[in-house]
Amino acid sequence: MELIVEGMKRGIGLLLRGDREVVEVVLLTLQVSGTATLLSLFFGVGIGALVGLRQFPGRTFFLSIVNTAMGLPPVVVGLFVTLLLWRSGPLGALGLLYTPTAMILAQAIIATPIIAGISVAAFQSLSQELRLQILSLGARRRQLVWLLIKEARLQLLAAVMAGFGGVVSEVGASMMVGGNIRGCTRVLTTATVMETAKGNFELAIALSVILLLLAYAVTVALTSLQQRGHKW
Amino acid sequence: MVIEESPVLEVEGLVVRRGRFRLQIRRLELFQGEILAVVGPNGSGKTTLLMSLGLLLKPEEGRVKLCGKLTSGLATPLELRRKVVMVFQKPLLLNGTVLENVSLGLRLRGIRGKRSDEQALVALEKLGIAHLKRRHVKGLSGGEAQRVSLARALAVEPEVLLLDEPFSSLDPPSKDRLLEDLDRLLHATGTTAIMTTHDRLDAMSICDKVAVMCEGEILQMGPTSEVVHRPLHPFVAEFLDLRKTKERLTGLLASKG
Repeated sequence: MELIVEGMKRGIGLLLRGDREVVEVVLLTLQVSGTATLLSLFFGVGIGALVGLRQFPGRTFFLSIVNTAMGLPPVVVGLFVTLLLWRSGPLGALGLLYTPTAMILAQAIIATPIIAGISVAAFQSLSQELRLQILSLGARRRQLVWLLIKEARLQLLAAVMAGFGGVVSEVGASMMVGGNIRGCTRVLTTATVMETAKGNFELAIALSVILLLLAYAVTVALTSLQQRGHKW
Repeated sequence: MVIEESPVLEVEGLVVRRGRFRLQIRRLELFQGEILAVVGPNGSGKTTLLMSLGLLLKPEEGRVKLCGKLTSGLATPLELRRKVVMVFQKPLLLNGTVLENVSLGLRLRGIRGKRSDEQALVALEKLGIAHLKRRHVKGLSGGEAQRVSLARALAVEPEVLLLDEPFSSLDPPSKDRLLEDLDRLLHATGTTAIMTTHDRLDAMSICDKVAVMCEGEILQMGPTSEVVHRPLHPFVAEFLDLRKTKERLTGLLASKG
């Protein structure tokens, strides 16, 4: 218990002191997971709108794939992204392995099905009549989709929170495609794993407290955005 | 009322299928400023007819002409599609204020800012709810929400207004007030309108023409008084017979002293 309390104190201390290495790790964590979530938001909501609002052959099968992928193990994603970016792999020439870009790619692959799955449910929860009403008022297809996105924003922002929570806390894929290189690809989760492996529990606890605070701060911001203008 | 030579809305040999249900309309014509009531029991195809005329459903056969131009459901060119607006049974308002909702159709047409707000406000004033403009739609009563829905449709000044049982969820006093306002507005603006209802009195009170539907077909259509007084089909006679309703009501009131 003492160890945990000390770790928490140290974590807050590191943040307040503005320790250069810790600040770098925090900023990279935000950059990687934030960019990955934004990418996933774009693709996830796009897939959600396609599956949730349109009928096409194989739709149910495609939706079951999306729903299954919501629980995609990060290490499996890490393995495939590594193979893809490996020197002799299909995208090896780009030289992206062990870079933040590779980590963004892996995290986006993890978060996209989470956001897509929740988005499908969000769009399907809107009534068919509402879509017809908007079309009857003279909306183009893209205007309709934009209005429905705004109408489903509570669920869509919940999807973003779930997606961000999923990637900011994952370690397997980031470790595999990023390599936990100091000053380059080290993020809070990979640093915590490393410090724990070294038996440096106090610092590991400090880093995990910072990770929790970071996740909480982002979620508070998204929740405020979600609840703004919402009336009971 | 000015009646032009060519109909605003023209339907010929229309066949629309929705699951097992089949709608079949041989001919329907509506001229500028006319108000048609489509009456019939639940499941007779009133909403399907309205959705087809609102270009939200593509017919399997036949043709729907709007302002003399051939349409093809949602694939109809936007300019033409925007000439007809449908108001559904439920108000179906979007999350936001009354003014945002009423100006929606205008904003979709590229009219923005002060101009769209002013036009929306005119529609709100016509329906007597301008004082609600800043209110969030979630705080509205059923009657207010239905008025907002109507104002939203009227704000874009459609050539044809389609109303799908707009009074079905309202209490009798709210319904009567809205019916009166709608009657005044439609006749003043010369808007061509079709209103579905299962209430025969609604149909008779504001509409010039009435069409009686049963099992996906129009059994009789014509001027309201003609259809009421000279029904050509036993179902039409039975459906529009107000004497039975009056007798039942008189009996009920007498039994309660």
